[in-house]
Amino acid sequence: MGIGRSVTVDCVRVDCGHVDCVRADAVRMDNGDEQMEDEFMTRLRAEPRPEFKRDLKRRLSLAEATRTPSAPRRFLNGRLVLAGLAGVVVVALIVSPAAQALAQEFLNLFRVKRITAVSISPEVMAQMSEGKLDIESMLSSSVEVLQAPAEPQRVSSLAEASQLAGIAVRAPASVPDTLSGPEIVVQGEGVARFTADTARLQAIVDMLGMPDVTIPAELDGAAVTITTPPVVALIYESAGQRGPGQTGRGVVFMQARNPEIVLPEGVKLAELGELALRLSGMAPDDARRLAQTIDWSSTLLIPIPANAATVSEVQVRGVTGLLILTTGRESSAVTVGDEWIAQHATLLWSEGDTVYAATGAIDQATLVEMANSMQ
Amino acid sequence: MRLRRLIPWIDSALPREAAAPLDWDALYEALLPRVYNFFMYRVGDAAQAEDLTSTTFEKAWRARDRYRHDRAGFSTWLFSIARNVATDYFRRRRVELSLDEAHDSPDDAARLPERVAEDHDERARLAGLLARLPARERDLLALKYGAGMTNRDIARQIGLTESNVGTIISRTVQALRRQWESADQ
Repeated sequence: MGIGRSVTVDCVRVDCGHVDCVRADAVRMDNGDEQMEDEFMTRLRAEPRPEFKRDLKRRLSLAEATRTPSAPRRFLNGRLVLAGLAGVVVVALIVSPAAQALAQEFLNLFRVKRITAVSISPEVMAQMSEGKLDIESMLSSSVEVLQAPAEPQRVSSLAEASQLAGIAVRAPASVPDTLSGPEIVVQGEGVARFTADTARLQAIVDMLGMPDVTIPAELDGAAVTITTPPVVALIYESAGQRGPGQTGRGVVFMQARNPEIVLPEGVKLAELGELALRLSGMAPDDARRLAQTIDWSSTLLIPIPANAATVSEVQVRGVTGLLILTTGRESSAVTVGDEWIAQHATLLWSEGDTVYAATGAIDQATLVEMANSMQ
Repeated sequence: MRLRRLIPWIDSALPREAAAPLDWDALYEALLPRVYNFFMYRVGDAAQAEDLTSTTFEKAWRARDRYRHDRAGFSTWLFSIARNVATDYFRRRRVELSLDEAHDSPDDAARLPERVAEDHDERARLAGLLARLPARERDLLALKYGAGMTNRDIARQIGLTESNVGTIISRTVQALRRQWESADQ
């Protein structure tokens, strides 16, 4: 990809950015019920200096020229891996006043023992979807990757994967004929540090329309380091034939040593969890009641859209797992009678020191059967 | 909202259709003026706007592999970065940057040709008015008049409803217009 080529883009009115265009349009801007005479508001607009434009382009081109060739897409992006759990940490950091004085001392430990779904209100989901509220981007400057996970590494055996990941890797013994594989891939350990930025966190809360939730200013700068262990993925490709019980693009089983997040001393986990529930859109009283029933030191919340998925608890290998079914216009489908419907099943559970996830375009019974057959 | 997006390590594990490559040249040409002007309205100073624009594009350039087509339009993503850059800038300054800095001294203006000086004076006047606005209002106006976004795009960008955005902008501009006109008299 170069930056020196000239091409045509979709250049709508607001995209062209030229001063004259914008000024001419200013008085015609639809601003609700009235047409605003706001031409004076365009007086600050200016074309960027050509030298500036050229120099910046040159710098970007230089960066491109010296860039390391991009690796194949990681099957587990370290930042993304961290992001799910970082949500817990973010919440942990943002509400406990006790954390302020001891922000650099990490004594409390969060370990996943139980996975619980929390229903996200349609309003919150609407803001999070389609980039309306991109929390990941908003917090990106607060997350420092200390050690990027190593490139995904294909290995030839479960034993090799076990050695690399430091866990006894298990694979389903029962696999539908429509699946082939698995391809075994191991992603290395990653380390990241999150530093609380109260202004940014408060901005997120404000955007969620929760004026009664306040992020303590004293937490600004509090930091926590998150280590994610190596993750093993067993990737089963679909044979491409869409038959009852399994279709689509395959199934992935993942397993990893229980990730650890060390929290600042004094964090009041129930209080933090209550805030997490509030941020999900739950009413204050409901959030308070539910927060008291959850062991926050070991419970990972999985946000589930209230109107787009069904969640149930299932027994998997003697423990309680979480089964999530989504339907809709997904990229995969299963057959129910003569009808094709889109369905995606995800199963999450924690077993001993290992966290498991299985997901794919597959019916739930088959997915649970595969999980139960792991050995 | 796809469930896959909610569970990051599952999300990243699943096969995904190859997205069409972005045309960076075209995006650069189209978005550079918008980002630059967004910062002009945020900080009111051309040199600072250039610095912050550079920072935004360099960050986006480094992180472009992480841009997710399925999450947001590119300009939404870029302006998320730009707004973060602005937040970081003001945090470093600890206080909202006074756009009074955009006012050059009378001596400077006096040395400019008459027409240029007139434009210069109007820009400084507007910058001065914007400087006194709360951060949220200035952010909204920067997205509207600097970045050239529609109210709908702004609503998507910052998580307010479109009607809220329209109301806030309308109210703010009306107030500014009164100040602008009173200064004319």
